[in-house]
Amino acid sequence: MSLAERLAARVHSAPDAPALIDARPDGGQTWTAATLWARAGGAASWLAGQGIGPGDRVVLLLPSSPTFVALVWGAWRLGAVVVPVEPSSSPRERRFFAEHSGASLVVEVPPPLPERGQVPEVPAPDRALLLYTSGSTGDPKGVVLTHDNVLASVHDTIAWFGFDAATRLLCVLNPTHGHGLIVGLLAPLLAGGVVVLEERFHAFSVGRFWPVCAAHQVTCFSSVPSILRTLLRLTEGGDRPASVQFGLCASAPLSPGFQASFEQTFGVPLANNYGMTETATWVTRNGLDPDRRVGTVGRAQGCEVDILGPGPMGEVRVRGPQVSPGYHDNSEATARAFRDGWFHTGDLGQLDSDGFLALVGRAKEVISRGADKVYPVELEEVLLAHPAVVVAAAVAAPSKHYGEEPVAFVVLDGPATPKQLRAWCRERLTPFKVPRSVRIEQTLPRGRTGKLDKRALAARLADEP
Amino acid sequence: MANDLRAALREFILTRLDPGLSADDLTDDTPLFGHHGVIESLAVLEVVEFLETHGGFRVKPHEIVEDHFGSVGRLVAYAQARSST
Repeated sequence: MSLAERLAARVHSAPDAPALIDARPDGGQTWTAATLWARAGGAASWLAGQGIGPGDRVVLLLPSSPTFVALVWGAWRLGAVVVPVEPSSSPRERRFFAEHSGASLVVEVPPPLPERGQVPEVPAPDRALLLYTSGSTGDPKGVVLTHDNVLASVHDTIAWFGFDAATRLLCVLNPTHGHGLIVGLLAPLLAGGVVVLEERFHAFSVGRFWPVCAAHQVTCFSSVPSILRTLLRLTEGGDRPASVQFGLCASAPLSPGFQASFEQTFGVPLANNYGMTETATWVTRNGLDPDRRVGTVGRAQGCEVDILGPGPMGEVRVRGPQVSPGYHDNSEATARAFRDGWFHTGDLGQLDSDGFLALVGRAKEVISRGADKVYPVELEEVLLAHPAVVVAAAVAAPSKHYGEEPVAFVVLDGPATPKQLRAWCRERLTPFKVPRSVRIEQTLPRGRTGKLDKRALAARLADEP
Repeated sequence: MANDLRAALREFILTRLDPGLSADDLTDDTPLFGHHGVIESLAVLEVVEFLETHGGFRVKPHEIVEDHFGSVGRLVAYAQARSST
């Protein structure tokens, strides 16, 4: 079954039930399931008019909106592959995504979509999504997700959290990530519930979070720790409406102490989960009491999760129906990560006797900045392209608000200031990848083999006030 | 008082939040947050803490809007209004 067929079944069973509420400040409309289906038909008709057909890649450089939702479903009704990309990507990154994906169409401005349209019959599609993640070896990698991958993940989320027609999930996450798209948009819709669509969480939407929940009787939300930290700091426990029963969280570490503070303040239990783009999001989930273990990321569901290592702690690996077939046009990275029938996550973890997974570190170098991942090598390559930079090392600095932020150390053989180097990065990278600061050094520490000693650099940052 | 706060706020933004601007480029009207803003969205927490420390008042969540936090000029006007109530 394809995603479009699954949506069609939902529409057929309850066409007049609400499916999408546009809760953005300039929104206001509510789509029933039948309206959503019709708008997807209109989007499919528009896409077909642009020459899009089965298997074609459509890059969507759009923020979260009903038009975005219609285009995603419209593309799937045509059998096309959706490539959602962060709208704040730099021109250089945009070119890369368009070229590497082999896009037939790049949508950068919301098009005027017809309200309905004729959709041709298409053969059963295989690929549904191409989601780009920062690459551990430089350029971003395009993760291929099939319809089966996405449906397996959606079904697990629906089953685990009991999503149904009464579910109203507030979606404040970026739909270009698997978390925002698959958990935030697809799972509630395909469960027969409602997506309450807000703008991506930002500075001026903090004060709207709980009022929007109250206005639309939201039952749950999906989040990342930086959103929870902002809510805890800036809003009051009494702001939380009674309709909100639980919150979901993933994409970055959630400390037990912080989780307890949030839950006590707002009276909302949080379920902390774990997954990645290559597994169509979550592979382990915490339930709500008593089926949860604070400090862990929950238990495997719908897939196998085990630890590769001689002892109880080792690299986490995953296999199951939601695991991607590999990276688009990148056989080398695919062979490294997908081997022996398992996806090797690069995360270090430990399973307890009940199967709860605790994450203890990263085998791969990555900086977790809020919900976003920054691979140091991508940042280093941009810095090394500057004519004055001869050595560059990017490491994680502790951050009160984001958990971690990238900081770069460079050695120069020409004139450049930290400000100029940050501006150089800003022109070439998505904003969250730009280093918080650039430090110019005479030399950088190296280990016995001559390799840069990034641990020493990170330790210096950790010791700073 | 407004000029003291403006100067402290500008220094805080330029040094702590590092928007990649020179002092001359950060005017009273430079957009701070949002699509054309020079500061990362969730750094609003740091601005709130700065205002609360320097202004001696508690920022309410519904006050974190563009009219109050959109620029240095608006922040100063907002802080003055809050301090006088």
